[in-house]
Amino acid sequence: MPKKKKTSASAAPPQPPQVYEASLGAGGAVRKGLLLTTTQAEARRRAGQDVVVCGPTLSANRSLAGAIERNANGNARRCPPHARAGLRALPHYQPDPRPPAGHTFYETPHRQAL
Amino acid sequence: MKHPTDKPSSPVMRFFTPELYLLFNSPDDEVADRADEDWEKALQEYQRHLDALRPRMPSQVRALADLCLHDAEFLDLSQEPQPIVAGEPFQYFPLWSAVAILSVKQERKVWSLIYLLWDRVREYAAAQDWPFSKSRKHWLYDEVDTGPDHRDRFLHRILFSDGSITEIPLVSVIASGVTLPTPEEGDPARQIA
Repeated sequence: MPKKKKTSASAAPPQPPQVYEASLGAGGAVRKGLLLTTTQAEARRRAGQDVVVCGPTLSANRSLAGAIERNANGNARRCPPHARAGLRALPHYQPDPRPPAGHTFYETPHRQAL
Repeated sequence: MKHPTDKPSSPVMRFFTPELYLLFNSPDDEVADRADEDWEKALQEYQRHLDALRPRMPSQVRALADLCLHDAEFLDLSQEPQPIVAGEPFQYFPLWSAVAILSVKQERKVWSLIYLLWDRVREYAAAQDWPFSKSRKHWLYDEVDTGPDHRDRFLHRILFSDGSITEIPLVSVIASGVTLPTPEEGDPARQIA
């Protein structure tokens, strides 16, 4: 009887993204704080405060970040990092148009929160 | 002075183009992922470009290149030509200089960028299908470049949230920021209440 193929660790589904409180640090860095539910994250965004979506998969992070921003503030746009924000700056969603202030940041393969 | 709106015959922005910005915002994951990579490359290319340009920049232009006004709300842009030599009779080649003042508000700070110009400011309208809001215009991305064939002439290009681009041909610039008082400080009625 042929041996059953073992499922390798790499075939495991990627971790789903998680959302945290966020604050801005030096050099454009985004610092993550307390873990939030999406409902808490949306409330924080409605109040103009920052949140950050963290995880290993860019498309999943982007999708969750977009959903949070749109649920909180309606229309949204994605903004890539800008040249002077530093190497640790993250892309983000923001209301279109503003207000409120603040951002829903998300991690990418090149850029992670601290 | 009212600014004419030009139609670009070639891309105005060299690095942070509106086209790349739109791809970055694509609902298609593959397109958006590719745009994410392309934006990283644009950031690196712009950094190399600035590093090469920096030794030729006067200190005021270097300060402009280091200023981060992302998300600042557009307030006003004015441009006034001024005669350097007041109307001398029989003057065949009158000398003119021009100054443009761009005012933006970033959080509680109002910035005035005062440019000494070598040519007129050009404003380019957004593509007709620009999908984002045109209200509350704010600063998205900018780049500093050299003018064509001029070592001491520069260009400052700004992409705004409504998709428009402003190109400012400058010799020098002064950036001045004033912090607005908080509502408690600035509103006597509130202070009394």
